[in-house]
Amino acid sequence: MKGRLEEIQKKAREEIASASSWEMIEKLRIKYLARRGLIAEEMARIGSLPEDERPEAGRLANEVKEELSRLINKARDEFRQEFRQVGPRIKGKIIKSTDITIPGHRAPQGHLHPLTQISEEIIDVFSRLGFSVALGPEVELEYYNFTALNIPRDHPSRDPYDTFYVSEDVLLRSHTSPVQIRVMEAGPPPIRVVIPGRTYRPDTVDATHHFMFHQIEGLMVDEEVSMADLKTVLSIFAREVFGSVVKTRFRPSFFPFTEPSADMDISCFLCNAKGCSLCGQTGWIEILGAGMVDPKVFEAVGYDTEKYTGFAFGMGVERVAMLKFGIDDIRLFFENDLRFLKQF
Amino acid sequence: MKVLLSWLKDYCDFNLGPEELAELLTMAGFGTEAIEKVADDFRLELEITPNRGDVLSHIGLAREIAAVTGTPLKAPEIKLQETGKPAAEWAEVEIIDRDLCPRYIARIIYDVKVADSPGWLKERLQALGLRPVNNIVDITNYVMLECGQPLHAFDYDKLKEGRIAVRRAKTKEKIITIDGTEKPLTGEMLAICDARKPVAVAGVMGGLASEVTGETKCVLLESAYFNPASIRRTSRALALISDSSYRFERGVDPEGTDWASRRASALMSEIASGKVAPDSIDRNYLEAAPKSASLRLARLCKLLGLEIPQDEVKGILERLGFTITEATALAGQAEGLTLQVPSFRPDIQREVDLIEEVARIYGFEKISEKSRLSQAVSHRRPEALVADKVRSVLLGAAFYEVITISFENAEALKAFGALDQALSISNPIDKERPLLRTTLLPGLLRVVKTNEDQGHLDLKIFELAHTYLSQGKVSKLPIEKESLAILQDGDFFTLKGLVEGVFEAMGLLEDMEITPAEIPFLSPSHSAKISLNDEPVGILGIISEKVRQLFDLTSSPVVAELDFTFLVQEASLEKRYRTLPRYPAVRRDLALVVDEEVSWAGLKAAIEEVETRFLEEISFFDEYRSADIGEGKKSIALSLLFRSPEKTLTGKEVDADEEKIIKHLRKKGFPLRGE
Repeated sequence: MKGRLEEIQKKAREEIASASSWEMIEKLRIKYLARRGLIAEEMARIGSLPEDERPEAGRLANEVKEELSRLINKARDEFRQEFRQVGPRIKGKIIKSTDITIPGHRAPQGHLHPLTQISEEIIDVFSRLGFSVALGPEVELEYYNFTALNIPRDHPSRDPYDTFYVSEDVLLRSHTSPVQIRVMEAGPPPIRVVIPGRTYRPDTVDATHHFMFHQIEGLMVDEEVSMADLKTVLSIFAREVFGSVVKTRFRPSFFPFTEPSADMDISCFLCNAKGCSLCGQTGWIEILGAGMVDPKVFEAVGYDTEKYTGFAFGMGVERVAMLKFGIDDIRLFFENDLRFLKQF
Repeated sequence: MKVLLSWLKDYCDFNLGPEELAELLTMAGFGTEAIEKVADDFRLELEITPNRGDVLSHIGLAREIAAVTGTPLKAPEIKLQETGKPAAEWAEVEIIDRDLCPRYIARIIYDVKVADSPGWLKERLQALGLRPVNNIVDITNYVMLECGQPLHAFDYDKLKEGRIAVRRAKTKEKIITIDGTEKPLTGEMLAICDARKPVAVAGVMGGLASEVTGETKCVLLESAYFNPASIRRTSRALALISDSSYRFERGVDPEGTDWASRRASALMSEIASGKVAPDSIDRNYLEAAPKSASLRLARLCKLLGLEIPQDEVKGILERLGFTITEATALAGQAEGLTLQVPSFRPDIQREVDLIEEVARIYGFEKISEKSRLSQAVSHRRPEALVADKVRSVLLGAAFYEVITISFENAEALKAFGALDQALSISNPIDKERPLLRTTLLPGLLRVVKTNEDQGHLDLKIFELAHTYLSQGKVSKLPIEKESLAILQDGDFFTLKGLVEGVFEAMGLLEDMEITPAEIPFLSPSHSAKISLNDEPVGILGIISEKVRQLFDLTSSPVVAELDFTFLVQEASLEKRYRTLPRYPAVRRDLALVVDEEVSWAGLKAAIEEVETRFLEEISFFDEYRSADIGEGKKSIALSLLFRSPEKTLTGKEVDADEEKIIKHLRKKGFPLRGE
């Protein structure tokens, strides 16, 4: 009997140690510790032993029973967590196991509007270059939107700037450039600002034009600012926002408030500057306008044109967003279809 | 502007294919929009900026190509033979309004045979999108495209008394232009008139009555300089733009007037077998004041951030038509140049203008990026930090940010009681929405509609944007108030909780109160105003049935709108640690029976009136109605939390406070349920 008990104990220890699930432990519990289990069976045989052997046998049987109980309970504890997560069961028998390929429960996420996301990205790049954010009113005076920026009435340079009017000299700003004047009027150089904002032009709405859009303007004025600074800052911006591989190109252009003026292109990231439909086969995509601040603008704000020089730039946020995200219709930004917003 | 490659080559021997030419012109400042093959020639469509009136012609553009490539410019030869009585015996020209027209040249070409133009002439015009009319008219267009000076040919015999008077029109005067329509003239507009009436809108369009036809025998050819601003105003006022007005607006070369006149006359003699009367009539009131400008080389290099050799600078400017009148030196170093500005460059007046010319021809690509930039520290505005915090609260609650159009209509604003201070756009693009919005809510409701139509319900959206409130006589500009509007297609208390969360994030929760209020666009059962220290800062509620119908929605969303500009000023993001409590709290739950009208706020306030020793927190957890409570009454369940900072409380100590509270509430008419 002693031998059998020891055998049972040894086998039970092995089986318990190698058990890998609740099921198996349960089976072992039944096998060894249940009313008709192996231990009980042995204990039943104690009665047929000689009387003087009975106490020893009884003690040994109880010892084994306690040890196995302890081991089984411990194993049960370990599998308790698993028990909770295993599928439904009837009488301890699992009906089905968990199919872990079933999709997880997704907590719903909020989304910032893609224009906000792009604006923040752009502002962040310039912020790292020392540019602070400056803001200005959307409803502006004619003076700030045109006159101070060297855009006279009755001049073809006003053509691209058709505007919405509220009254004779109050309008909806057609670019964020008026804020440059306001910033400069507020104090002397050095100036280093980036100016995000909403702008308006009476354009017929189509896939690439809208009467309401957003721009980000920039202005840097100090004693030694040159066109090399302009190129450097804007090229850094291009690489940060469009990728380090991107090249920049500065083409001569015209703005009434800068001289020299330039348009900046980036190498087409879609065809790697080889020519495709996105870049109109040229390999280049126009991103922004820039230039050295025209002395007439400095005169309007009372800056010493000999002492100070500066550069300014402006870009369309919708345009950058459409390029970066591959969005093909500007109207989507203001329709606010959730299926669109959800993608960003 | 469209040009032909072969035509450009007439004036400059450059050896470039169309793509190479396009690249060259792009990098000189004239972007190419299209290159099209036309027969065995190429047509380039270029973008010309408004400051460069001088390149609106083949010779003008050829000059640019010559300047960049270094190949010389070849001007066409004019072989003009004049015969017969002088022009002055044919016609009389008087410029009455010399401020608007400082120069007018008239030539007479007689015995012309008006017919179809020769093939080469027609082809060139057609290739550039012009319709050939007859040899005389075609020649005027040809010369304009060649040198940029617009010309006009009159049928001499249709000019009353052979007179030309250049004057402002009289208010009642009218003219039928060559496009067949009648144009009313005003005293602002310059007209070319004969002895009796206007025969052309100066610089814009000729009159039908005096146009050159198959019957014309004698031509009076006009070549003039008109004031750019005046032409622009007239063109806009009549909504009439022509190739001529386009060029006059941008400024033609005041010294090119005669060349164009002679060139066209010679061609008319050659092609239409006309005879040119000797001596043009040239009324010239232009002041022959040659314009000069100077350039400091040091300034050039400093502004561009690039060293350019002096010889390069000189060479570029000379090839562009500038004449160097003086080169000053300082200690053997080149210092500056004084130059005469050519007459065809009215856009060049100052040193910066010269710097731009040198830079664009030399090449912007030659300016290198710097390896170091001067340093500056950027500042984050506190308002931006608050806005970021609030946005993150909203995103955390799974709300989507929307951006809507700033324009509204009167009906929508009126429904929100927000019409009063709305500004009106005088030239709206959408006549249905001619006002600037004073609230963001209608825009949000439209977003709901857009999405409902797609089958999306349960929207959770917000917008943070400007509203515009007229200040009437106080100021020309409106107040631009940043408004935060939040909308949820769902439960009132969920949105209320979110609003509380927003205030908490701004550190303003304790000073904020939400109280019932009558608000016209909100449903009376759920309509509240939000105040901060008794200042109204917003509203919260369920959209009213009327507004729901107005916007055609399937359900009534819950909305909130806050004066964010004000809140952001009051907000504080500062956090201060509060010591964690050392001793446990004791919780006691009470259920009280109160009249229907009693609010939670009122009940809570009543409890707060009691002087207790250890009461720490009062929390609402349920509202309950049933038959056994009685009609007109409800039960409010709340929990009280008691704690001492110094020790663990005994049951008796808590009982004392609790009794005090219950007694006080009973006195106020709020007994415990079951009493």
